[in-house]
Amino acid sequence: MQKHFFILAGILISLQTFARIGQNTDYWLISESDYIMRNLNGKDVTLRRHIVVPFMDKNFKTIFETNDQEALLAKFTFMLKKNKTRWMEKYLANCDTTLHINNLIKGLYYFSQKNYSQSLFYLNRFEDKRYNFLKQLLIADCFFELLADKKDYRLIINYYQSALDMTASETYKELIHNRIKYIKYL
Amino acid sequence: MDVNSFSMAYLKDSKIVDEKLGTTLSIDTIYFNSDVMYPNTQVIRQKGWFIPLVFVYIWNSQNNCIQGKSMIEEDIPTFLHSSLTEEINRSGIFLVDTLKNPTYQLELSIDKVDTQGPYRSSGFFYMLLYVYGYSYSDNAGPAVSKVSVSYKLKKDGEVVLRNAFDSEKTTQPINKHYSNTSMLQRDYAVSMVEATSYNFKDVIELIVNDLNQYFSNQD
Repeated sequence: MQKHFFILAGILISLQTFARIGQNTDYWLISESDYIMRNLNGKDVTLRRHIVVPFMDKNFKTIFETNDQEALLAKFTFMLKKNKTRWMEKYLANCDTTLHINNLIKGLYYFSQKNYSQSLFYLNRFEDKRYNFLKQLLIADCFFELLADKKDYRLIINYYQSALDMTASETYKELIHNRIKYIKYL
Repeated sequence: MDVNSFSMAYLKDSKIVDEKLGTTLSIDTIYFNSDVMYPNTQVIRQKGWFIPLVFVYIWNSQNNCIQGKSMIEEDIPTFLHSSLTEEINRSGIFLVDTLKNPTYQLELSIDKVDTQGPYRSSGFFYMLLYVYGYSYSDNAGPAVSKVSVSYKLKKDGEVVLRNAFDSEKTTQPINKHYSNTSMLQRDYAVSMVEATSYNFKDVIELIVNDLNQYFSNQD
């Protein structure tokens, strides 16, 4: 009986570890290099909605030792990918609110909780040209998720248009086109 | 085929032109003859057979599915008008102006909107005393979509430029396994509308490029 309990607990814990973006199983969090590799290897990037972040850093436990915004995002997104709930909550409770990147981090966190209104609140407070595309894509996804009827996607297509116009990267443009394809066939 | 309507909305990926000339035009008329498209989607049987044996029944039918206006959410001339206006404001070296008295007037005609493709059904049913079994499958596509739009550019009522553009797009075959036929029909309809939308996007970009070339030579 005890053995079965531990097996079940093990399965439940590992299920959380393989969650796609925190608790949100509708989207896949992936680093830019991994996304490009997936694309090059012909793996399906059309039937999944990817959130592409510049880097992920598996040394997430050092997140309290740095103020570098890129490093904070890389460490936090790794935690999000692995759904390290305790660590994420600890970071969000103690993070420096004067650092702009924490608005993006909070936006991502609430996105992973499927709390899209709260995610929009933080994303709209975030300003950093380097992450304009990521921010705009998340905003578009939030508006899409908040639609009462997903068939009305043409009402929010302009948010995806803004994201597309913010990037010169063909990979990212393709990502947006795939998003629309996914939505059409949903 | 029992399907809902789907949107032709698409993303524009043409190069944004920030520096515009002073030239303005208005999109006056868009002709769309109702004969260009069926009001409703048609499924026309091309060939088929049914073999009724005593214990086994086998059937197969091949149909042609023709997109009707009812498959498209938007009113087509209104969609062309708004998409062309947005494209001109995005990648045109000129602007659309309806408030003042623009120098040029644009008259458009949607000459062809034709999207059609195959839809096949086959299956069998057998019965022996108390035992029976059946199997059936439907498959669809690829469909071919063709759109033709012609235009006349007028200045003070005189035609100064006219041209026509065509676009053709074949949909991807649907190789997914569907547990029910209504999902297959839905995806087939989405792919047909997607191809029609792609063609409109293509034709609109060609018209704007053509007008860009004309106005840059006028300058």
